[in-house]
Amino acid sequence: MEGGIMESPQRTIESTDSDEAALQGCCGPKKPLYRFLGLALMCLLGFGSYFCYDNPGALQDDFKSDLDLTTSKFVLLYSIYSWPNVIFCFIGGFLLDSVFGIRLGTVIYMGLTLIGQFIFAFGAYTDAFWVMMLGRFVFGIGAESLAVAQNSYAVLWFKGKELNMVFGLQLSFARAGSTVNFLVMEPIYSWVAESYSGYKCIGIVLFLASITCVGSMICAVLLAFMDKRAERLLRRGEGVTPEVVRLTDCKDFKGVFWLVAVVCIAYYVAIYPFIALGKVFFIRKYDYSPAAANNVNSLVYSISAFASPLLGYLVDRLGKNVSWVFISILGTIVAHGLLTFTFVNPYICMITLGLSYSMLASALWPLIALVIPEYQLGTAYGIAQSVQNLGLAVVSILTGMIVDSGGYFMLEMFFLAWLCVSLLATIGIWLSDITTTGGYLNMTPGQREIHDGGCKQVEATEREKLLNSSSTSDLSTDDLLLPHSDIHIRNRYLSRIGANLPAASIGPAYRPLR
Amino acid sequence: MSAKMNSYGLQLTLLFVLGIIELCSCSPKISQVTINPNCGQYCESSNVTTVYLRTESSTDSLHYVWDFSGKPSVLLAVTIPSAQLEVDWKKFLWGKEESLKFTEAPSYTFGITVLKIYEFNDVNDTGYMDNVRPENINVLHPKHFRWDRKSYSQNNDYFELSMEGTDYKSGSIQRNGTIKVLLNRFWKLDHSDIMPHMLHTENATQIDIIIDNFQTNSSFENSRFAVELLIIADHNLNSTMKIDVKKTLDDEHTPGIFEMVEITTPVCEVVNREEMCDKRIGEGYLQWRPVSYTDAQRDVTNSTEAIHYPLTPVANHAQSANNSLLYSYYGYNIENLLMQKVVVSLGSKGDGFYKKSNYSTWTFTIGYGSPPAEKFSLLVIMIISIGLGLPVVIMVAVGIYVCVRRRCTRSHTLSLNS
Repeated sequence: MEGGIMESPQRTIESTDSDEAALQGCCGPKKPLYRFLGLALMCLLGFGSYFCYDNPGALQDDFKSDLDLTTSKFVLLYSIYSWPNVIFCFIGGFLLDSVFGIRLGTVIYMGLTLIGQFIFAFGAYTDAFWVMMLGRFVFGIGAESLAVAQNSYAVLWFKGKELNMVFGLQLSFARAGSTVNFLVMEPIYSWVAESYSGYKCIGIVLFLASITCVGSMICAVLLAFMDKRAERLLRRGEGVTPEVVRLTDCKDFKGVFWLVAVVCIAYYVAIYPFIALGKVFFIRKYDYSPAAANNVNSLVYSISAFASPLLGYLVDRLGKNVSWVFISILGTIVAHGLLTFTFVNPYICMITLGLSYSMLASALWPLIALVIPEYQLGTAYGIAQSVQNLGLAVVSILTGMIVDSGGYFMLEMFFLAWLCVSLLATIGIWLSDITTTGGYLNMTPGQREIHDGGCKQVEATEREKLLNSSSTSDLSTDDLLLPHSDIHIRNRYLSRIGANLPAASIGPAYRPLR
Repeated sequence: MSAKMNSYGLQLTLLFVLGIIELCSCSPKISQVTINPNCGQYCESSNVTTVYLRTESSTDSLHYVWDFSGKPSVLLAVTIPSAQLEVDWKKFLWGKEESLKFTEAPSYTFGITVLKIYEFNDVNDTGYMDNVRPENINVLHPKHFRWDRKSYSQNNDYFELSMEGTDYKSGSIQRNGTIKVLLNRFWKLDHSDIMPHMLHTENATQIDIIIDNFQTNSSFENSRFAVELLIIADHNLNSTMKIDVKKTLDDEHTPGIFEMVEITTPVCEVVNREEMCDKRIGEGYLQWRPVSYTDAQRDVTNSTEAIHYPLTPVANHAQSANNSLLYSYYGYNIENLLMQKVVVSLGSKGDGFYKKSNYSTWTFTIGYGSPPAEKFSLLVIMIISIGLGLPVVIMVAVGIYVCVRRRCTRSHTLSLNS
């Protein structure tokens, strides 16, 4: 990982005339239209899986009565989705980097999602619960790895300028998929119920739902072609020796990445499990009717659907990701604190929570792209998603036990404790970033450009030197990446004579790549 | 089990000294529990359970009498330290007035009786009993149960008595099923062991009522039960008790319940159109969490509401209180005391009615003094202080460190360039 991979700086030298024409035309991969189309496909890519994920939730009562399921059996349909992904997300991400590549990987994962949904629907149609479980299992592996692939696509296409907003948009589409599912499944069910009944009806409805997955599959294929074309025209990756990705690479991931992973666990366990139990909490503490409680509870998601892209855009313009993450966590602590220690109108709390959550999603996930080299991104996002899944799976069990023994008050204390952990991890990110790179993660986009530009210049001059000089053995990768200065030269001198270097001059151990 | 207990449990005195050193009162308290005091053979033959609990401190004595010989009742009395209870058993078991008295007149008394148990048909599934038509309500009289003493036990924290009412028979009406009553007299301030883990003072008794597997009226589709309590307090006839619902932030001890219902007796009362405030230190109170559990495994998922209705005045005190400990103690004087009724119904909209689980509970405490208020537990305070303190400490430390380092590096650079 040290030293990263270097893009060839002279990318247009070998361009043919036709490629040149394609680059300049309105469908050129650098033109807004092309990128916008890519963005739309990227967002729609996740729509199907999010739509189908919550099918059982939207038809909970019908599932239970038509298939004769108990509540605990019904919950199994969700557990079989989440538990395997504690490991499979990581493997999926790794395979994306090492074997499939992003285009094939995305199509394969989308295919798994689609097949899983078909098996699930078939299981319902034949009233075979184990087939349904198998379907959910396959669907889960596909869908979660697909999310990893989606992240990688976004980074590949949009890193540097619009990445935060794109992450926000993807989140909105995920929410939209889930919301549309809750809105349309019941009407579809009643429509199908006119001609079919019982488990056959559920089966047909699920087959109909899988049409969304077919749509997403088409998006995956189109996106693969577009990406292929963009790669050819932009000569992305040319002149770069392909890095060998090994599973053991992850032990070399920077400390900052693991701290981001800690935030991923510690923050999200205070959001999703809370929303899962939130409805009853609002009914009990604020005497809300079930419908009103549902409204307040779903506020977080509806806010995030609108706010995520906007806040993402804001982060794109302002940079300073770490500060935003910090502020989001503080906002979440305030929201949970108000819910715990006051009777303040829960709408205020949930709006604060929704905004904080959207901001965090927009600011946190791109951090990974800034610290991990591109060829390992799949693995890195896979790990982040895996640990998040692990946290959620374990905590969902714990929260139920906490409510039973210590009530919602203790549950809120539990969430607040986790949020404090994530706050500490954020401070850790900030600190380790300051000490290793001088605060690259918390720079504004302009500052980052200057920083990157500086690095590139150094890199070019150092390369020249490397080619000319015969004695390069004592040049560490750090030397290659540091800006030249009198202090730098002095340090090189010091290191040659074997003296200790001042701590402040230890340069970045990685290089952000886009 | 119960037979064995009867043989030596009738004339039993449990005497022990509680050396609990309280922060407020450092005097040791002596507590004494007697079942059927000085009754002997007479009570043995007739399945009587009357428990006398006496706690003596240097300034006063607090007496409790739990009685199941008539309608289940609890009487609380505060006297000078030396006072004792005296029972004329023959008269008492006949329900005669003033058959039970203290050797010194109490300075304060407070009592309750389980007046009626209602079964109502909640046709529209509202959970509320106040708009149910009379033909959809059955009245069960607690006196017509056979009340058996199942067990009792005691330790440093409490004395516990378990009673069971079975074989309901009133005229032609017969019902199978059990009403279990568990009474706890606590010796110190703590939360009780059983859900809803009520906080109680050392002056309180907790009463836990379980309507277990009780046969419902076959013509009622949607049966629910309700309990009616008669409350009497040594206050002016013209004053009123107050029923309050307090919102609490903390459901740590009673998961899912953020309310506390309290019935308090008046400190101020209107006498001759003038407001008089009571000089007495404390007063009697009832306190409960508005929750009813529908399973022996008491947790949030097995819970429904306990709905209360406004306090109502009682027209004829003596008639309402007859066949109870309260009438036996107060006698004709009962007409001059403050007496009110309260109804609590068990169950709420959409919980599937009593038939779903055949189990309903209601737990309340009766006490003397002011009702205890919940405080944040040590764990909560620790989480708050560590959770908020640690990030602040780290940030301050980092801030100082960064400042110091900047100053150092600046001087460093300067010296290099110079």
